[in-house]
Amino acid sequence: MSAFKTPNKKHSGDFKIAKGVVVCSEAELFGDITIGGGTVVHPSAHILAQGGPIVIGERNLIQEQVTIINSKREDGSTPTMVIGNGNIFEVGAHCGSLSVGDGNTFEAKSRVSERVKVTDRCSVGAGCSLDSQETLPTGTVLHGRECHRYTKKIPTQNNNQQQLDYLIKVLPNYHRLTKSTAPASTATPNT
Amino acid sequence: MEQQDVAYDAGEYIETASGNKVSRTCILCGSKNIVLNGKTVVQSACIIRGDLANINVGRQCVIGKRTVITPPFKKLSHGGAFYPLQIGDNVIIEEDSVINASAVGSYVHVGKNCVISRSCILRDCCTVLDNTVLPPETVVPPFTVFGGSPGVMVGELSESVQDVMIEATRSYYQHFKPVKKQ
Repeated sequence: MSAFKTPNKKHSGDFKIAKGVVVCSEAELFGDITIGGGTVVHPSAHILAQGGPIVIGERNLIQEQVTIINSKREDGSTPTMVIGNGNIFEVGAHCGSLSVGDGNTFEAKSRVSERVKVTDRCSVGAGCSLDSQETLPTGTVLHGRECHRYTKKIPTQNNNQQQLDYLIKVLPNYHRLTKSTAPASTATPNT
Repeated sequence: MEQQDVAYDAGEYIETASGNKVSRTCILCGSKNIVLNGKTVVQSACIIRGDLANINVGRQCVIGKRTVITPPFKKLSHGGAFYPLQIGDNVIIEEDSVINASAVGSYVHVGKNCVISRSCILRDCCTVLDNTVLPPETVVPPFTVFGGSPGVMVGELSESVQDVMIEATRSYYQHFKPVKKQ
């Protein structure tokens, strides 16, 4: 694929992308980004590390028009944004949260601001917006227009392994992939 | 209501032999798997994912700005697959909507900022209001109006919907006119 390398304005910064990660080149990456193994980033997703590094774990699914942003702070601090393993960001989701655990689902057009801390196995429903200073406990589900919430009694994890396997197989046939820009020795921090 | 002229920059759209008008800013993945059956307008910054499965769009449809059309994923006992997505004729999908349905019938109107979740089925002659969120695997029956979050039935449509939608899509296409840049 490197033979077709063209200058891409959408990409600038240091990316440490592990082996077996599918990051389509139509996705916009900016800044210091680390992506762990088995993650899939669809075209036209935005991962913007403007105010500090972003570390994304393994087996995450990041769909179209998703914005994952570590925005610039007024006080000049550069906190690191950490996203765990096995999360799903559906079409058009916006995530500014600096701490996301494992197995969460952010449904289409949901919005989570930087003041929210998301723990494990939560689900933010389609169109829900969360802007208060709080920590979502394990297994919280938000849904509906008024963002009603309840806690899952048995906090089941989402299971998207089949979909990820399929995408990792198919997407390289249709897309140019973004490769790691950092040296190979640091390219696999999570594996 | 009379359809107003919508002017577009002649350089921005590509017109195919069958009369489709597709914006250059669209992301059409796997374009060999996308079929637009003619006189369809695909506006700027749309995303159509033909790389995952076949996408078949009928005649005289209007697909609004920033709309995302992706085929639904179905889990199976041995390896899942994306299922092909069929959209009927004379369909209007407005701006910022997300279509992850398994089938959309003919003469359907989907409003702005809607989320049609995984494996929904929109039958013929139905309407989905603006800002609706349809939960996964919802079936919208013919001649109904769905709205709200989560989407529920909020009304019924008259039998004239078919003619109204044919007229609306046809006049939209006729009034979608190129303007040469000075």
